Amino acid sequence: MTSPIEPSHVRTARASSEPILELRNVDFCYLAARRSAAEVLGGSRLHKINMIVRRGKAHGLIGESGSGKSTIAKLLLGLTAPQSGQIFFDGELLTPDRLAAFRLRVQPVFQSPLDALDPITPIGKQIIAPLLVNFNMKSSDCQARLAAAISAVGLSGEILGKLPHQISGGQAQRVNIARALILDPEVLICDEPVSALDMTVQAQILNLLSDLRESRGLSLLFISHDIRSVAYLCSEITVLKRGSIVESGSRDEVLLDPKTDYMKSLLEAVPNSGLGLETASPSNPCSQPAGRRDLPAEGW
Amino acid sequence: MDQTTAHALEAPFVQTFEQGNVGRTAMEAGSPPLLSITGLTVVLADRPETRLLDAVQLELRKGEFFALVGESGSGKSVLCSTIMGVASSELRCLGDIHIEGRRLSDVDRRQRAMIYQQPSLYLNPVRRIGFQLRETVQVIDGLSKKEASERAADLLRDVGIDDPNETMRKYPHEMSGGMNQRVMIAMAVAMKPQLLIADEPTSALDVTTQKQILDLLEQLRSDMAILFVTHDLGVALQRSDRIGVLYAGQLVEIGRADLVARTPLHPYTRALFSAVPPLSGRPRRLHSPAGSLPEPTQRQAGCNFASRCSGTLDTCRHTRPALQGIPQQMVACHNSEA
Amino acid sequence: MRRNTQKIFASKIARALVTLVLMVTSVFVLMRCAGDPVTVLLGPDATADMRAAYSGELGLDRPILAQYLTYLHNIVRGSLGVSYVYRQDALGVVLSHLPLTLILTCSALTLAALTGVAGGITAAVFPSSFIGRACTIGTVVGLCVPSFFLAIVLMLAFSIQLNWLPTGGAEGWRSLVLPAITMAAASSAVLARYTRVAVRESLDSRYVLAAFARDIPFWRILIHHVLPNAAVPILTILGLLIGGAVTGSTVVETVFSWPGIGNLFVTSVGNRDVPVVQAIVLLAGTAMIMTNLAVDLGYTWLDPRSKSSET
Repeated sequence: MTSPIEPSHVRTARASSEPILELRNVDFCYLAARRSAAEVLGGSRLHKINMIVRRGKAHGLIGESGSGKSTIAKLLLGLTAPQSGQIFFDGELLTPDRLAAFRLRVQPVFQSPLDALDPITPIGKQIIAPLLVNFNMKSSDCQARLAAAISAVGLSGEILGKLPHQISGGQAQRVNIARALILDPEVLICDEPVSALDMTVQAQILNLLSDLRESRGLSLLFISHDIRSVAYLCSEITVLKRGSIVESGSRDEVLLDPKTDYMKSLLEAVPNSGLGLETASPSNPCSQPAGRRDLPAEGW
Repeated sequence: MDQTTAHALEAPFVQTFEQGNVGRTAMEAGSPPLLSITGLTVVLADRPETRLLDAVQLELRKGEFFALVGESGSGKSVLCSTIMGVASSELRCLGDIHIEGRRLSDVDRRQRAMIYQQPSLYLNPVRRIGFQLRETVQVIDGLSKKEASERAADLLRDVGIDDPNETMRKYPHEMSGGMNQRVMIAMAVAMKPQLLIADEPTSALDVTTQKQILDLLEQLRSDMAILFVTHDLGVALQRSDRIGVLYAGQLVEIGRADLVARTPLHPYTRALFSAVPPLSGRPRRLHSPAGSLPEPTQRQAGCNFASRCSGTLDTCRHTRPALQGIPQQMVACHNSEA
Repeated sequence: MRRNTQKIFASKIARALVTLVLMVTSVFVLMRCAGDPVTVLLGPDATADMRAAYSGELGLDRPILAQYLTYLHNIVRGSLGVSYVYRQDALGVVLSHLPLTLILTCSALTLAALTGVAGGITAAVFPSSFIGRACTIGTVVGLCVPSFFLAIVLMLAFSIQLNWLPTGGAEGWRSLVLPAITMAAASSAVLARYTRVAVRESLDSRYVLAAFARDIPFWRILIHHVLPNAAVPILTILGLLIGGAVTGSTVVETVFSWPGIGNLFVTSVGNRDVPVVQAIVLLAGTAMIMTNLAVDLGYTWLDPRSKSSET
């Protein structure tokens, strides 16, 4: 049997920036019995969601807790179905019979990297598990791909024999990404992948995701409440508020010229304190003392 | 030594800082410190060579907002629980902690209050908010149940909860993280503490909620000193008078927030700066030192950061640098004057 | 919230009813698998005519579905057939033994609940003190010693050596003491063990840490914060113990010749007295389902989170 998965170089040959994942008029709400719990946190229903993730691009989804952003992740991973509306993958409508194949091509990376790993199985076995389960491959046949996957995420081979409690949070997130990559997916759905990590580790993982997108032509849906990470990684941004999209557009449109008060208030709330990280603007926005609440918004 | 000599940094740092909060601490500078920590070393009781905190030196004055920046494993939680007097029995503390000139063991526990990263874990899940807050008020002020209820409602109003009576009937799981954090702050305020320790109080919250909670903390600072622990350099620099950077159990840099923002002296501080993704401008590659901070068991004799540092000298590998410099900004680095 | 609570209650009661029907059905199936009662009652030497006549009398010659429907119908009417041995209504026979069993199990469970919960709390709060260690060791001993052995030891000590209490029978409160203690020992140990774990877990929780940091006195924390949280697992175990109480006394009743349901059960199984055994099993099953339902409803009251996380 030849490799069950289409090699990625074939894919990258296709025109990039065509839609790969699309939500069209998607409505979703949890069943009535579940709703009371969800409503406590602001309700997780989605209303008329239209969104396109383009091939080879990183799409950012910004939203606060209760905005429904994790629900979108679940929909796009095929873990739940919308009440109405359609999901398209690679130009084709996602139907129940296509779900199994779809799930192999769209892989998740979640927030708590250690929770996503089985505490009693060595790392190496966990990374190749998707191959063993989905393609009946023998463990010995997976070694080349395993080596490629862990080197792609910047880990060394000695980690493979370790157990999850023996590695750091940053390493664990790399392991999760390697496990997603081993199936050679086309899309990574990253649900708050760096929120639980320290600043310097966050930077490492953001760099890694950015590199993977460029080198492999991966498409990313990057879901986060952290506007800075989204701004760094994504070329297109969608802003979600209580289950509806309030803004959507290119990175510059959304960040530099926000149309809605909601997005403006989000941007204002980002701690900035004039870290000197923003490009200098004519009227220096950082000329006021830190610690004042009347600090102006970013100097765009 | 000229602290403001330009350091070779890619990004331009803050140009000027006016008085503001900086002047405020200067005003208080004459008063004796509220909290003074000298040579605090915390080791594992059964393995004294494993140091979780190494000779930490720190002073806080009334009205001061001090931010302690550190990543996981830096020892910041150990420091918090040591100051609170709730450190695990598996740890042994050497060195001194004084509050208003008295040893920690002689100080009333009510002088210190603490709020936490995940408030919902620190609230009893099966008791109503009203019960928990009222209980605190009753214990601290010795009020009757009815008086305590009224005081509790006032406290909730003070922390920005508009419908205190409604809130008091709720359970923690019926409220959002931000609301629970407000309740925790109300409980802390009820103790009328001199020192408020805030351990990552906003890390689990949305940005807008984070801003509200930070604003709330700033309103409180006039009555107490706030030790604000965070891994987020942005929040630290924006809100604090002074910041301390904790790396692998050691304070590697401590100084006025404006000075540290303008000229971070320790390479680790600079690494923290460059790890923050910019909001505007063309995305550049985030610079982050490879590796992660060494485990307490694997720390060597020399500088803890030496293995990740780009400017390592020979001395860095054998001798651990001590904090030095002018009082406004001190750094523990052999290569800081380069 | 109130509406929600009612809905949860309704769904829990509905689930209990479904379990009840399943239980009743499986009892029917099991009883039919357990061997031919005709052979047992008439002996192997009976003629074919006698057997056929007897089968007809008991309704055993009809199709299985018809038998099942009759069985259900009779259960609804409260008639569980006539005991082959006593020649009386089986349910009546069982119910006449019930009061004695209830007296025994209630006293045993009360004793177990008091000692078990108190011992568990003590072991959790003072893990390294003498009394805490004593509770922990007592728990292990209580779990390890089989009740028939404990019964014999107690009997030897208090009845034969000291001659304070009778060895058996059901004559006044003095004959209740030994069986109740024997039966309570194991339950108490189980309860103490779970109580210790639950209290320990709650004591180690972050809300207790925060309460200590707020300078709330220890006893207040224990009563108002720890115990309400520990109550849920304790209630679960207590529910299981109560649910099993109807038949749980079998061994003790036999050893102390206490004429309760357990005793009746052992005798009836030996006699293949199908209607009586069936009545006991149905009664025990119903008791178990009812206590479980009560425990479930108790959760909703004890743990406010279960109201909204219910699916």
